[in-house]
Amino acid sequence: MEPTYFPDPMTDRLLAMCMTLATETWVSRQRIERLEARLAQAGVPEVPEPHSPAANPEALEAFVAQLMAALDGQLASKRLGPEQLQTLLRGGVAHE
Amino acid sequence: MNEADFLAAQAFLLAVKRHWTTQRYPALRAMAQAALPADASAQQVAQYLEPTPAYQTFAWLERHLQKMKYSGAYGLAPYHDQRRDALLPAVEAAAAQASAAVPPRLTLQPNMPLPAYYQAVDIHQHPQGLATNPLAGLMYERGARSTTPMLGARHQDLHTRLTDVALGLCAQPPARVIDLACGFGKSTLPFAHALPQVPITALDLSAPCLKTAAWQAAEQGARHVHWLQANACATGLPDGSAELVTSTMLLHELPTPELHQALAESARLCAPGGQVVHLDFWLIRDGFDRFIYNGHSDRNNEPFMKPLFETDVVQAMAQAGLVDVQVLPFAEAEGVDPAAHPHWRFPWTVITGRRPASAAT
Repeated sequence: MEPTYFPDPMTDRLLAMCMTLATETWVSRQRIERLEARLAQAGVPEVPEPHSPAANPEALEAFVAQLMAALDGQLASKRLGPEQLQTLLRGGVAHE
Repeated sequence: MNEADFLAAQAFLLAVKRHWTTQRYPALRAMAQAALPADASAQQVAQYLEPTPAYQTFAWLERHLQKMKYSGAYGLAPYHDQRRDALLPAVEAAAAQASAAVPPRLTLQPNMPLPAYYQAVDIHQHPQGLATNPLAGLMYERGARSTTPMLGARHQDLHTRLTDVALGLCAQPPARVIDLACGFGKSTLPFAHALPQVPITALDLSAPCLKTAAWQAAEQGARHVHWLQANACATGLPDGSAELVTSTMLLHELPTPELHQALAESARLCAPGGQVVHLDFWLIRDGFDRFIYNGHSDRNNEPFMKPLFETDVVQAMAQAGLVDVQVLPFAEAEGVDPAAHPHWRFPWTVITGRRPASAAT
């Protein structure tokens, strides 16, 4: 069996599924961009401006950054912790 | 799989590896530095970091990025398997030509027994290892292009730099060179280019790798290298066969008994007054890195790396009969400071010694 690194082995396996799917997503995005480029070359209207991934490595870096950020569980929007909530409910000032 | 899909998937995995190298590793290091004393041992670092999600994620990524690179849906293994008929003829033809040359530029020994340790583990997570699959050399060559993601296309620079360092350590320009565990020739060919008149013997256990090396050498016009299937622990070559004996990334792939045999063999092969130069992983700057590399040893199927860290290589080289033994940090690329590099890197180290000019020396 593959070694595992998280307390619950299912975390390891689910993460493997996520990365497999993320790889497929990136491969598919590149396919779509190539198709769009060909369509644009053929003069098909209503095709978004294509850009080669090779000429736009930022797209790959941004995709990886977004994917990896999900691993850290960082908040995208503020929320109240239990103590802050109780403080506010008591009419106090909640500190972050 | 089509070529473009393979390239896109491998580019994606490499980009994640770059993220792991440049962001995950420094973040983990900062965590440990903030919580532990500067002289914390690897055990202390382990005790602190192992329960944390940050480390667990780091470890998972290291293991699985390599696994996906080789064995995933767009991995090197299925990519090469599907192209077997297209890829092998060129390599086999070059190998046949090299074997038939007079003197031969390639000597395979199909009946040579392969060591048990070599067959017991698929090193680097390379499926089926390097010995049996005829495609193994090509797969290894392709995979090695992204082993150290920060080097990128400059990876060749590492071997060229070692060539410069090794030749600089020699008291006189070598008249003959032996490169132990040459793999697909990446370590050998820079010596061949730097020393176009010097006969070079490059040996390895893997026939598929040697065939790939012979093919690459032919492509690069390096016809003075003899690619020889042999065991670096017992080559069968005469005493004092070369003034310079080298290896690159051999020592950490050997169990401790074979490590000492290889060191003794490299000393035996070295002519009196000649130089032995091994490039491997050994000098580690602190307990944090020791913990990280111990983990790498396990995660990347390199189980003998950790025992190498625990070996006194200076003493082992001296026991092998070498003098003026030195252990030197090695910068694998321009601008790398081994003592203060912010990103993940291998702990490259030159381990070198001289064969005494005479028994009295």
